[in-house]
Formats: sequence, structure tokens, C-alpha cells
Amino acid sequence: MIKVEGLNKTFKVHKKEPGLAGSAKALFKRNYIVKNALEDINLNLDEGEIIGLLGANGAGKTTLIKILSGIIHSSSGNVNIMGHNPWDRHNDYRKSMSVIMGQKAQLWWDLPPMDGFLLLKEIYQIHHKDFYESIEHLSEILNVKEQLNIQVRKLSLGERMKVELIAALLHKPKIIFLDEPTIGLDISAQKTVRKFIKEYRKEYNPTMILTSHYMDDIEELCPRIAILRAGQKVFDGDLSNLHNQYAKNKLLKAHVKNEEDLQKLSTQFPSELGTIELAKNEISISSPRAKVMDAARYLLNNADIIDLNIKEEEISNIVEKIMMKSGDKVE
Amino acid sequence: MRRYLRLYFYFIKFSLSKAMQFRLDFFFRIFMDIVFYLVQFFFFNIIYKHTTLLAGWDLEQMNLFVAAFIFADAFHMTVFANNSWWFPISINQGKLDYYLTKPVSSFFFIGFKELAANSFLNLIIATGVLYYFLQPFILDVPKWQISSFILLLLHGAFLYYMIYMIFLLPVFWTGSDRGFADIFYAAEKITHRPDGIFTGFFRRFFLTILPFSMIASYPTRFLFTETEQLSIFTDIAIGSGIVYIIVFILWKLGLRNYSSASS
Amino acid sequence: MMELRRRVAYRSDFWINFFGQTFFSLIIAYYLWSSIFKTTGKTEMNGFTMQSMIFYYLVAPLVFRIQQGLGIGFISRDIYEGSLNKYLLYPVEFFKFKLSTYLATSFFFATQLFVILGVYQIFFYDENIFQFHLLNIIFFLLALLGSTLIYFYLSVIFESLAFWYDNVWSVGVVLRFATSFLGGALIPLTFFPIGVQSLLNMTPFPYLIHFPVAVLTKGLPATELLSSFGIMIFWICIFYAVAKLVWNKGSYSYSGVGI
Repeated sequence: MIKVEGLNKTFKVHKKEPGLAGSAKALFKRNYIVKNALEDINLNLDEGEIIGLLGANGAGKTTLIKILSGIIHSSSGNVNIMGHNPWDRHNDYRKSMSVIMGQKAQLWWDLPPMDGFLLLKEIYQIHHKDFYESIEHLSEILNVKEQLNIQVRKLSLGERMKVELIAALLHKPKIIFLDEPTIGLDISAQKTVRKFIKEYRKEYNPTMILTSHYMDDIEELCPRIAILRAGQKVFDGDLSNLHNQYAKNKLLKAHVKNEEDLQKLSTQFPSELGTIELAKNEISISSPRAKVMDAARYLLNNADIIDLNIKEEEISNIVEKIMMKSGDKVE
Repeated sequence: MRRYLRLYFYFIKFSLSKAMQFRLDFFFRIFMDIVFYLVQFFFFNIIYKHTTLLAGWDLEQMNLFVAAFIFADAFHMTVFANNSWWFPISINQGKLDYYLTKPVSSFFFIGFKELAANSFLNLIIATGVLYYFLQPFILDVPKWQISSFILLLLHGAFLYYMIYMIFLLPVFWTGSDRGFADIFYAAEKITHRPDGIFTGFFRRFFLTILPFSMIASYPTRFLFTETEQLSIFTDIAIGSGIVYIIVFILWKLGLRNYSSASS
Repeated sequence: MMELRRRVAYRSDFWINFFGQTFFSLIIAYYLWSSIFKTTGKTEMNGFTMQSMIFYYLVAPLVFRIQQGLGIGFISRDIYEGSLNKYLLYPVEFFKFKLSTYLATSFFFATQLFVILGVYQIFFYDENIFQFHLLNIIFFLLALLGSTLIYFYLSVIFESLAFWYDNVWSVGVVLRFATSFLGGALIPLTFFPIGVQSLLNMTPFPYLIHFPVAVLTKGLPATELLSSFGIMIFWICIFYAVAKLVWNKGSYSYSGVGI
């Protein structure tokens, strides 16, 4: 369905020196810095599959989505989506996919969503009956029937995102790119959007690529994730595998009865058993899997412990670590 | 083609309902263009206080020429002006992103999206003015020549927009918020002068690379001539053809740059 | 000074635009007037030779540009976008703040004018048209300052209409059209019919463009200078008073949209 091989994207940034002299110089000679936005990306998606794309700001998520949707060119590498090269911008391809950018609206600001939908009906040449059925159905699930005839600028942020979702799905795309669909929304609106995407997937089974800052989105929607760091793909696989592969540490939490023990532990805890952090009368230790038992034993022997807890590391912490870690690339 | 006409119908509808929301600005703008028309007529009438001929035309002919470029201007203001105004801003804000993912020509989107409903009333006024100043000629000139004159003026409005695009398309590279619009505003005043005053290199320049003279002056000349219809028509075709090719190339290159230079 | 820095920093195409503008307006003026001079067979018309006419079209648009300072929307935009609130919180008086940035921009455009004058002096020197005469330059600068103040307060009046009507951009354009025609930027005022000229003299328009250019080129006699400056001060006071009045009325009805 989607096949990406050895994809690279570099672009030049024009560096201007400040002040009049800088501007004058820039007229004749410009200094460019070459930036690698994406480096050797490989990605395969089957029909109906969904993948969550994670990465820090500037890691290349949006760039990748823009390339796959044909908005920008890659510098080298192959992309094949249903037999199309996206940046040929073939009408067949453009009719079968959809992009939703949480930061950019496609509907007309001064007009009610319904007007925008009618325009999209023309653009995608949607059949009359299908069109009204889709609107009926989608606005029902998203609970925005009332809002369809109110100017977009008067809608709340959450309502706006919902009508944007409808706009993007009217032509029943086979491939959907979602770039930060929940950005800026409050928790309950985030939940509605997630629930909607889930239900929509059950019904139509589109292939989807989703990027998000919110781990909740990903955990709930995407069994498979890919992580980008500085333009490189550093993880691609099942979310559940992430623990086995990357959670090298487990988390120990203990309540300590008295202050003296707490102080003693913080200074004397052997570093080969893990790293220790203090908070009030609680300590937490991140300890390598193999040393967890030793660490627990050390605690029990050397302090007056009221309560002890051993946990897997939070998934968001693992992801964050992978996203931020610089240097070695993990296959 | 029919699909694009239907799309355009929606654009018109949207623009109308938008215009209704700002009623005062609506009337102010009509007033603004009327002042503009008056200034143009006064300008030439003052000049004809000091000479009887200008560029080979008498005052009656010159008034028709003024009516002609006012008509082309009103048509341009109605159909294109709002779009060219927003063009550099849309590019810089990345509005093109969504257009590019749609199975419709992006150039069509950019060029026709907004219609100026208020200018439509000016177009009616300008049509009246043109009709009024056509009266002295209407008996002597064959019908087909008059209707071709009107069509050439409508084409002139489109040509004006395309020349404007030559100055705006560089925003793909410069990233500024206005392109070279300021130069264009200075240069476009050539439209408001009869081509007959220009000689030598600049005459050729304003007939080919920046064919402002083709917008209203040549169509007016076309109306007055009895023998040179064909050669005037060919000149217009060549002059505007060059502009269309330049715009086409710049647009393609600009899109490629947009696609490859951004991330 | 901040205004100057801002312009220089963000407008690297500023000078390209400037030279482009000057170039085209000169071309148009040159061909129009050489055609007129040729058809009439005269060498002088209403006090202008072909050479001094070109000089007029070189200077008049720049003088007008200087007066326009920040350009259309310099107050109305603040009003309808609601950013006026921001200024009202600053510990400076809004009027003074706007006036100083306005004059700073004008000053920047004035440097363009002097670049042009310098180039003219060096390459096309013609003592009958223009010469660097210290006294003339001083009076010219005074006339520029006066006309800029007139246009500033006149604009404030129109811009303040935004308190009542959302978008008043088109009103600014009307003011600009009218001034460029009635002030003499399109065609020298001496070409207007005598009756119209004396009518115009009762309005502020001739003092905006016609007068400063005349001071620069002709070096008017002392009595005329004195009376003209007197009338300018009169207009400044009138428009200042009206501007204050409109502004005060408007800010009462200001709703502070988009806070």
C-alpha cells in the first residue's frame, strides 16, 4: 500500500546577517546552510494499517507527511503509494487520500462548514447521495450537527477540528494523513476525536499515518509506532515490543520511615544498582532489570521501609528517552 | 471545464455572503473606485486644456480610452484583485499546502477563489461610462469591431492579472510578504497612458515583456483603425502570449521550489 | 530610530522597489510630456521646460511618499485588530508614540529623496532647475515637516473612523488619490485652470506637494514663504484640533475587540 525506500530530504536555509549591511550583502551573496530533514527513511504499510509517528519538534514528522501527501518533493529515494508517486500529484492519487493538519484549517474562515463541504463535493466530484449520507453520518458521530451552519470563526477550537475532520473524510479517502489532529484541544475534545478515529477505522478501514504529541493518542489508536529523531527512524515496531527492547530499567518506589535512612540512602546507595531520586519521604530508583532484586534487598537491609513497589517504566518515558537520545542508532 | 465553472459558481456565492458581513467597507470601496475614475478623467481633461492632440488622439478619443481602461480595471478588480492581493500572504502562510492535495488545479484556486462583490457594482458603473463615451463612435464603427473591442478589454483585465503575477511569483524565492508589488504599482500606470506617447525601446518593451499597452490602449486603437485590425490583433496575441509563457514557467518553477525548499 | 532599523532589517527588497518605482514613474512622465511638448511645439508651458518637468516628477512623488509616513492603516489596523489595548497599557501617550514612528518612517523616505538629489546634482547638474542652496534646503525641510504634519493629522481623522466602521482602508486610499491629484503629484498645479487653482489655494492640498517642491526648485520670495508657512501652521492647528476631538469621541466608544 505505502512503500518508502531510502527517502532523503535536504533543504537549504538562507542565513542572513542582521542589520543593513547584512541585508545588502544578502542581495548579492547568500549563505546557505544545508539541513537534513529526513535521512534514509524506510517504511512499509499494508492496506488498512495504522502507524503512529512520534518525534520531538523538528524531528521530521510533518516533513514526512508532506512528502507522502505530495505537497513537497523528496531529495532522493522512492515512494510508492498505491502505484503512485505522490509528488506527481496525479488526480487519482489526490482523490484517494486526505491530509488533516491540526495547525492549518482548510475550511473557509468566514463561512459555515456546510458551504465548505459543498465546495469539496464539487472538487472531489462526490455523488449527491453519498455526500449527504456522509455528512449525516459523520456529524452524528461527532455530535456537530447544530454547528454545520454556523460560521467557522464562531466555532470553538474543538468544534472546528471536528468539522475539519468531516471535511477531510467526505470523499472516503483510502489513505489518511493526520498531523497533530488533537493539538490544542481540551481533554474531552481529545477523547472525542480519538473515539471518532477509532470508530471510523472500524467502519472504513483506511490506511492511516498519525502524528501526535500526546502519547494517549498513540497508545489508544496505534498498535504500531515509528519514532523519528533528527530525521532518522530510530524505532519501528509494535508498541508492546517497546518494553521488552527498551525498558532496560525497572522502577522501584519505596516509602522510608525516617529522615536519617533517607539521607543515608541518598549518599550511600551503590550506583551499579541504579540511580536514586528523592521526594519527601519517598525514594524512587531506576534500576537495570538484572539488578532489581539486589537493589530491593539493599533497600530492605539498609533502611526502615514501610512500602515497596516495583513497576515497569512508563511508556511515555521510554519513548521520550528514545526521542531525545543522541548518537547511536538502534535498529 | 463545466466542473470548473461550477466551482467558480461556489466562489462567487461565498464571496457574496462574505461581502455582506462588512457593509460599510462595501460602500466605501465603491466610492473609492469612483474617485479613482474621476481623477483619471480630470487628468486628461486638464492636459487637453493645453493641447488639442495627444499621441494622435483628440479629447473624444482619449475619453473613450479612459473609459476603456476603467472598464478593464473594474473587471480586474471584480474577478482577480482580491486573489492577487492575498497571493503572497497565502504562499508565506503555507496555504498552498491544502490546495496541492486537492484534485483540482492549484492555479485555478489561487486565481479565482475570491470575487470582489463590491467591485461588481463598479463594473456596472464602468460599463455605463464606457457605453456613454462609445456613443460618438457607435455609428461609424462596424458592430463586430465594437464587440471585439469589448472582448479585448476583458482579455486585457486577465492580462493585467497575469502581468501582476510576474511581479508576485518571486515570493516563492524571496519569501517577502509583498513580492515586487510596489514596482508593479508604479509600472501599471502605463496602462493608463495611450501607447502612442511611447517611442523606441520602451515602446517595444511595453508591447512585449510587460505589455501594459495591450490591456486598454491597443484595444482602443483596434476600435479606431479601419485597416490595421489584423496586425493589432496579432500584436496583442504575441504580447500576451509572452506573458503567459513567463507566468507559466515561473509558476512551475515556483511550485518546484516550494516543494523542494521547504520542509 | 527603531522604525528605521525595522525597515532596513525586514525589507531587503526595499531599495529594489524604490529604484523600480522611480524608474517607471520617470519613464511615464518623460514620454507623456515629450509627446505634449512635441505636439504643441512649445519649449515652455506654464512655467515648465521639459527638463524642469522631469525634475518635478522625480521629486513630487517622493515628497508625497515622505508625507505618507507609516501608510494607510497605521491607526485603524490597531483599532479593529484590537491591538490598541497594548498601546493603551504602555506608559506613553498613543498620539506621541504614533507621531514619532510616523516621522521616523518619513525620515527614512527622506533619505531616499536626498540620494536622488545627490545623484541629480552630480550627473545632471543644471543650475536653472535645482542647486544645493543651504537656505533653500532649510526652508524645504521645514516645508516637508509642515506638510507631513498636515497629512499626519488629516490621516488620523480618517483613520479614527475605524472606531465606528470596521475597515476604513478604502477611505485612506481615497484620501491618497485625492491628495496626489489635488496636491500636484499627478500633474503640476500650474496646469489647472486659474479658477480651480484659486479655489484649491483655500484648501490644504497645494501645501502638501506643490509648495515644498516649489520651495526646493524656485526658492520663493520671503513674503510668499512667510504667508505660506503661516497658512500651513493654521492647517496643522485645525487638523490637530479635529483629530483630538474625533479621537476622544472614538476612544469612548472603543469596545476593545479581541482582548
